[in-house]
Amino acid sequence: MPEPAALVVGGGLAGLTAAAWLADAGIDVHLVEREAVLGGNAARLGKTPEGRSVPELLEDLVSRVGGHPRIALHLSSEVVRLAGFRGELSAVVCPVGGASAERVLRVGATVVATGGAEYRGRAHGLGGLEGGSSRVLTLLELGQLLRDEPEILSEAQSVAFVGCVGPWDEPNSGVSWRCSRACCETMVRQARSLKESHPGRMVSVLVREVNTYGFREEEYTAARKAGVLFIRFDPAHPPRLELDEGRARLVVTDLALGESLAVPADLTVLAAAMLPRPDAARTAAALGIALGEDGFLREWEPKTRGLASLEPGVFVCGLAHGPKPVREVLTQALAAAHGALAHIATDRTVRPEEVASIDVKRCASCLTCVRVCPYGVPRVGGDGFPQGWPRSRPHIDEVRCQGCGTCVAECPARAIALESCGDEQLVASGAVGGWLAGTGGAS
Amino acid sequence: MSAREPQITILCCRYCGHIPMELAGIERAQYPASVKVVELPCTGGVSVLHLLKALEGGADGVLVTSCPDGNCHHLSGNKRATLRSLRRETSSKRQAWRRRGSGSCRSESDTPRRLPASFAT
Repeated sequence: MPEPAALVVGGGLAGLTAAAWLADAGIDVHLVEREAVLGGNAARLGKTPEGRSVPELLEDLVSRVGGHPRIALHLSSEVVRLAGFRGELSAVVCPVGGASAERVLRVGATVVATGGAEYRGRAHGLGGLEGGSSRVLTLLELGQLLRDEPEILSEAQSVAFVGCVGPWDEPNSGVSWRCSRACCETMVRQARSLKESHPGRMVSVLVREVNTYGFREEEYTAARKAGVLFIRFDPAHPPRLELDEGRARLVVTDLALGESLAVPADLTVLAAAMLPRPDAARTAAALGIALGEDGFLREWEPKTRGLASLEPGVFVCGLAHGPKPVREVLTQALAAAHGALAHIATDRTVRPEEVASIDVKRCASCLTCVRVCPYGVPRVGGDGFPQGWPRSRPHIDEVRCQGCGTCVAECPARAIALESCGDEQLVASGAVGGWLAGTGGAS
Repeated sequence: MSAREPQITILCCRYCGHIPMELAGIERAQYPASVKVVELPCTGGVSVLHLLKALEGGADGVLVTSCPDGNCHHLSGNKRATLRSLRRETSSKRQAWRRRGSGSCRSESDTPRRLPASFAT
């Protein structure tokens, strides 16, 4: 049986939810949080678009987790290494900045909820004009203001929102646009509330497109009815912030009119993209899991093995896995916790039908397989090798191998075979090439 | 025997490569009997040896069909297969395989008609 304990990395909304659920299910939980307080990104949120209060939700979770007899809190700490596999993981946890006080935790499964980060770059100069009569905020900062000191906002005669602000707006960034999925609904909702609280105020929303998912589309209609102006712009020509006699305005080319407009903006609010944390690569390396092409933690297969990382027993959720609204973070955290519990409760591992294996005698240790495997399965050295396996030769863990055959095709020494479709089946049997002899077609 | 039908070997993956072939059958789409299909777990596993063996065995062309970019069931096997068949194409010129060809195409599990179309090219 795997160790009946779980590690939860990250004490934000996702991590707290997963930890509380796992502990309630009777599992000992180690919750590791890098900061000195719990809460993560959620500590900056007010209400969700559904009207749910995140501070209340967070307070409830923190008190549940803090007082739970099965949860051990490791605050101001980080996981520096996660090793082992198949339900026998050992995590090395140490205080941030102090590698001396290492602790080794033995766990059966891990939930990774290390969170994401808001884009903080200076895309198209929008952040560069603070001061003057203008203020530039991000959506998250506006949310905090609306929650904590809404009276400050009453002075703004005009508010302009800009959607999809991210690294793709920086010149020559080479990053392509990605939807952060949660900002449009928040932006549209905040625009409406700013308009409704002061109907004389001009509220405009400058967007490349509006993606208010699902029933949130109704929020868009309601905002338009309330008098919020929506202006679409060409992503190749994003809005510019200018000062005109001390008043800030956004200059934008309206896609429908084809003409340049000057939109008054006493307050500019940027819907900044949700991005992977800047240290996501370091986190992924410490936990031994892979990053996707978008820089978020990669899950095994979104349709059939969602939230499972490529490492058995390690699950990802929340903003570490990709941008998403609060309601999806909560659902995902529960899903990842269920995955972890199922992993801990399972006492056997099913080996896949087709796996590649290395013939040590033919292997020249060129490490081509280590390089080409899309799953990073072949490894040299380390734990979990069969008895007597040479330390210098890569080994393919038969439980983790996905049987795609890429290493088989690339191995220069032809030292790797895939059980069901090796050269014997494909070439020697004549499946490839040999069949023509009998058909007469080649004569 | 009249004009000889070109012998084509298809190396396809189990997912976006083979499923449309099944669908093509269900739709009664016709393709020449001289086309032979070999299914692999992933086109990432198509080796240069397979391409050359097929040509050696008398195939006039080899078609590698794999998943659309970014949609490979095995994450990046399709890209690797394309790279590999391109490499073979360049090396084949040196080896005077000139008259025979190989190519690769992307198929999707719901596009059975694209396959017969790709034989024509």
